[in-house]
Amino acid sequence: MKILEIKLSNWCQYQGEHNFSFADGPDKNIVLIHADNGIGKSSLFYSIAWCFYETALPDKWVKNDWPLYPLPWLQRANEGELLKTEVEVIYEHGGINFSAARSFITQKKQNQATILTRSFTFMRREIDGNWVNEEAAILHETLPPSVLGYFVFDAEKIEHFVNQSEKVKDFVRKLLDINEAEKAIAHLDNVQIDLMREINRGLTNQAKVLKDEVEALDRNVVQLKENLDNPQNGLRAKHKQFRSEKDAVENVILTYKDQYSLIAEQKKIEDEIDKIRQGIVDDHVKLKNLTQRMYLPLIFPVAQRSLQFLNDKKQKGELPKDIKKRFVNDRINLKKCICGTDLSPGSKPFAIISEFRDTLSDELSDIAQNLSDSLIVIQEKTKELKKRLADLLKHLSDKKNMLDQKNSELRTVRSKIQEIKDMPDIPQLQIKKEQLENEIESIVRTITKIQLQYDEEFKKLNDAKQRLEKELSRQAEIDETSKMWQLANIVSAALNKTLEDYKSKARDFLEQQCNKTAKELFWREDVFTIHINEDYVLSVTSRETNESINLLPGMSMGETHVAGLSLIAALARQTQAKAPLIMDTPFARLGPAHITKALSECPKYFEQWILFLQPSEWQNNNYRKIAGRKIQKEYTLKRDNITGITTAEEGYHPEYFGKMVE
Amino acid sequence: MPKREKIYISEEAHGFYEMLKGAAESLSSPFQSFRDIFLVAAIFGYRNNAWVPLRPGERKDIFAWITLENDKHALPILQALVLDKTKEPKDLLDDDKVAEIAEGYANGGIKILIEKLSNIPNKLEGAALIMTELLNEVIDEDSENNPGDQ
Repeated sequence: MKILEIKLSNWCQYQGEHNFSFADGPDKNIVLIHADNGIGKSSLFYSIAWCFYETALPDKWVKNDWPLYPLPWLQRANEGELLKTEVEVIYEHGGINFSAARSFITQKKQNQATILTRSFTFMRREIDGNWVNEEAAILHETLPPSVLGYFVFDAEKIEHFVNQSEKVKDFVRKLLDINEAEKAIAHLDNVQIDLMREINRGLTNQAKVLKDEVEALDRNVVQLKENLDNPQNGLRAKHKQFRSEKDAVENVILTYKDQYSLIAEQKKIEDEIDKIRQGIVDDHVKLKNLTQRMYLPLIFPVAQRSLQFLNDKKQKGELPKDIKKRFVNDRINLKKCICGTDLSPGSKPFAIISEFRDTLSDELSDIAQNLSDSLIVIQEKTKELKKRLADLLKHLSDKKNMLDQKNSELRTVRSKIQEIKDMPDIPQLQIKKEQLENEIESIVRTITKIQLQYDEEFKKLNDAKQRLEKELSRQAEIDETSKMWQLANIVSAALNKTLEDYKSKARDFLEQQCNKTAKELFWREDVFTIHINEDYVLSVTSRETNESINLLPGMSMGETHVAGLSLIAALARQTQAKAPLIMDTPFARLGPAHITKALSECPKYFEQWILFLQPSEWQNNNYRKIAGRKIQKEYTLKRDNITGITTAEEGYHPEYFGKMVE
Repeated sequence: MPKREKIYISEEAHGFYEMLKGAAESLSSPFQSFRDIFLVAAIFGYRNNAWVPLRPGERKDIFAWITLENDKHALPILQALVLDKTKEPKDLLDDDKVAEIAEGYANGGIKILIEKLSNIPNKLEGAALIMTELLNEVIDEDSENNPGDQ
């Protein structure tokens, strides 16, 4: 990655448009930005990180909420006025030019600045020169935000960098992709755990149980099938047999249907005859009730004459009066008639009444009355009897005629029956047919029941088979899972070993590179040795002292810087990181020897080295001699005292140092 | 007057009575009781003027007097015969008189009844036919004599 251009628009002190073009020859990779403190060197320095990753500003800027727009503008702007702030960084990576541009719009409201909108664009330049939108992921891959801080940093941080082992460890692990490898291994371990869980879940005797179930159901199904379909004594065979027999019986009955109908007819006629005969018997009973009264018609004329005689006698007074003798006796005893006539004994009325009394006969009177009554009834009954007798005799005659007719019919039918030869016993056959029908009905019910059982068991069998199949598949999967677990186990072990080897070798290599770089940067030959332990903590020992003592804490800032630079350079070399190294006041703690060495050696390790220098860091002319061929671009920043605006002028202009430009 | 206890027929006639009555459930004879046979025989005897008194040695009881009283028409029928014969109402008070006359007529009439039914195989139907003839006869006569009573 090589930064080609930085465009500032209303960024911090840089009010207006400011361009810093770094593009130059391929062999030149040093860019120098000279400025006094407070002119805008740090603003320019942090604009690059801010453009890439908005959150990469220093803590003190964020904590104090330092504005990123030009303050002079705010002071002079009118109410509601808008200002766009933008930083664009154009860089080359892998032969392609990319542009990252970040901006925001500020509005002045009541003497305050309000950020209205923010935006970020990332573009790629095509062969034809047109810029097209590109995924910001490419930027992340080239210069991840996590490592940005190690390539774009304040040189004062080097000692912190060297001494803060955790950060170094983290930085190195990221650069060497150790974290990624460990993540991959951890993921593989999780996969193993999941696989093992899966294996454990499958370790049951379910398959055996299901097999037993399938076998039992299969036996049931076979047995039921046998019950149904056995050709000898299965239910269906029996059903067929019964049906066959019934059909045979029906055929016989049908064959003799006409003949048998004669028998039925005979039976019917016989029944009718019986009925008629019974009717005749009933009529005879009724007739006897009437004939026993034969005396009625015989006595009728006598009854008439007797009745007439009695009436005559009565009219002539020759019959005893209808006065009860007892009643007359009572009046005689009372000596008074009901008309009041005195009936004392010896009186004439008494004599008359007594004589009269003697003529009376209650019995005769009763007999005569009863006789009269009876004779009247006899007369009536005689007439009634005539009708009843006539009807009954007619009824009887009709029945006798009917009986004769039926007998005649019966004779005819019987003669026809006698002509039939070898007729089977149809009633018996019909009974047999009924029995067979009952058997068939019973068998059909049983077949239906067994069939239902069979269907149910068959279904259960299929379900069990499916479950068994599933279980066996699952077992197979478990076996497969076991294999996968084993494979994962092997791979994990191999990866772990490889990673440990890699880490060890990488650390060793890093240590070697570090020492090599340190030697190239400054180190006294074979005196100091840099050590990097497993946690990437740096230590420095010397042959001249006890080699177990770490000399780094007591080293000068310059030597510490060198150690830090060595580590960064070694990492850059080892990981072939393509990011430029951008340093703010890199040489503040270093002496001329170190600076010379750094200028001579560091450009070899970085694709681009951008240095933001205070005047004191570039006072030695030797520096330009050493770095001159590699200087890609050089700018000097200056600031207008009146406007407060910082501008950049290409080249080295030491005349701007230590004074404000009027 | 002492009440009569029994009704008598001749010994000879007893067999006829048995034959005409038949078995209790039999439908071959037209009569259900000796009383009914006696009544018919008495009336047949009266109609044919055949009064044959029973000789004391030859009589046999056939049913109790009270049997006559059990049927409200039986005694009046015999009384009608007596009345028609004697023309004396007071004879009605004399049960012996009534019985003697009735027995005489029955004795004379039983043979006529037997003769009438002898050639008829089905005596029940034969009796019904005889009754029908008699009924037609008497009712037709009655209609002729009393046209207003129809």
